[in-house]
Amino acid sequence: MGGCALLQSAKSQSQLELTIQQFNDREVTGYVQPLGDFFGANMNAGFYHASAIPANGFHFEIELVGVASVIGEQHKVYDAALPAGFTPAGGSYKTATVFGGKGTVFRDASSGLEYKGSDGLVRASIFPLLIPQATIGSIFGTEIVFRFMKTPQLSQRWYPTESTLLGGGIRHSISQYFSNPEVDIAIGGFYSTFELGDVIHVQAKTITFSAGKTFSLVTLYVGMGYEWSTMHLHYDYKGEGGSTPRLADVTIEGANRFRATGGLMIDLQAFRIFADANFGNVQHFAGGIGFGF
Amino acid sequence: MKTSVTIAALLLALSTIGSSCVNEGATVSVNLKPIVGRYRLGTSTTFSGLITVRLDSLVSAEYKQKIRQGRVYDLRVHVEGDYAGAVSAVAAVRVRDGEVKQIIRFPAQGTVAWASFQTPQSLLSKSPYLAPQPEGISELLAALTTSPLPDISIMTLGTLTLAPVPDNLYVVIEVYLQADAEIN
Repeated sequence: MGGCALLQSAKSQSQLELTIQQFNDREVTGYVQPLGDFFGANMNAGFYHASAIPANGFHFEIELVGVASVIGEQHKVYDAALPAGFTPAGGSYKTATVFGGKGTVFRDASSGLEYKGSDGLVRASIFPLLIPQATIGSIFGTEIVFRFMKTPQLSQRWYPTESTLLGGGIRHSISQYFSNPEVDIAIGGFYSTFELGDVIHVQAKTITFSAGKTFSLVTLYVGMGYEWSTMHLHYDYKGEGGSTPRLADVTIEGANRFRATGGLMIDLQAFRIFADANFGNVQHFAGGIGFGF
Repeated sequence: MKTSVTIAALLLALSTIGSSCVNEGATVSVNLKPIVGRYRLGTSTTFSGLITVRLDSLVSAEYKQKIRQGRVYDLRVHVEGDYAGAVSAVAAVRVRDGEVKQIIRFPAQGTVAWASFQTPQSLLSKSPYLAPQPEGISELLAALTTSPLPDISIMTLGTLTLAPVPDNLYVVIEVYLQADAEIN
């Protein structure tokens, strides 16, 4: 049984690093693929909460956005390649990803010999990301979005906590070109990077189309996005007792390509709260609070 | 002040990717550097050889003292050199100064042509010439979970059927081990 661990004793390496060091660059992909999927989906979320952008006039808002991807059963196992010699030759067996449970013990039907996959590290139903964000506008119906967060190596968890999140983008009002539009329409493009220790570097980018309508204090909005993300892993491969670690450099594409978004924002004057659901290869949710003028 | 502390605690708790429930007792599967014993047989029709292996040297420093379980995922035997006769041999393990225990016989009974082992034979490919011996394999696996990791000897002992014996014959025994190392 696992326990929820917010803080653990300081160690030189995270559990994630200790684990993936035993995977070569071909094997590691399946084990950490969900991590790449979730990082990508989370980083491309929460950039907008409405579609109305004034044609001109200064506005500034600081937001705290929480994003969470849903960890489904399909994210907990993957098809790992069988080592050479096991039958069927070139076959695979299902075992735990980083979000799975116990690794599977594969028993070779011919020889009876066994081979085991590594256990999953994390027991969770969601994979969250916290994003401080600022929006500044607007000129010619255009505003910019900026997000940044830096955390030190305060404590050791299953992943490196020393991180830097940096991102930004631009949104432009389309509805400003129409007279008396029924809904507010905007397009946007965003790019963000996220580094976790020396091990993980994620890049994500998205282009979005959104439409929204405000009813008194409530704004309903929907959107579509096309996106890309890549997670780069850099680690020392120490498999098979290698006395000299070999640097592994692996690039993993995030699964999310298209997303549909639906949400609402409530303007409470002193602050605004918002929440949306996002559907694509990775299902995830975003919500938060914003202060501004 | 209280609000600030609460917000700071929240940010600290969530930091970048939030709290997580770590699987306690999770293990990483570590493939050890294979144990390879290459034994020169000499010119007699009986032969023996021994290598000493520091198990400690097969495992990365991070996982030493943390091995909870082990398994043999292959055991291979092949020979080097040309010889017209047949061979009958065993490979055995001794942990520290303990009892010698067989880990494999090749073949299980009788003799088999030397040339049969010029093509590597493995347990994984269910070679008919190899017969694993559970007692010795258990001894080897028990050594893996001993702390500190002990030195072990892997030895071979056998006979050849035909004299004279060329002086350039070798028996090579390879043991492939996987260990479950705790990472919490």
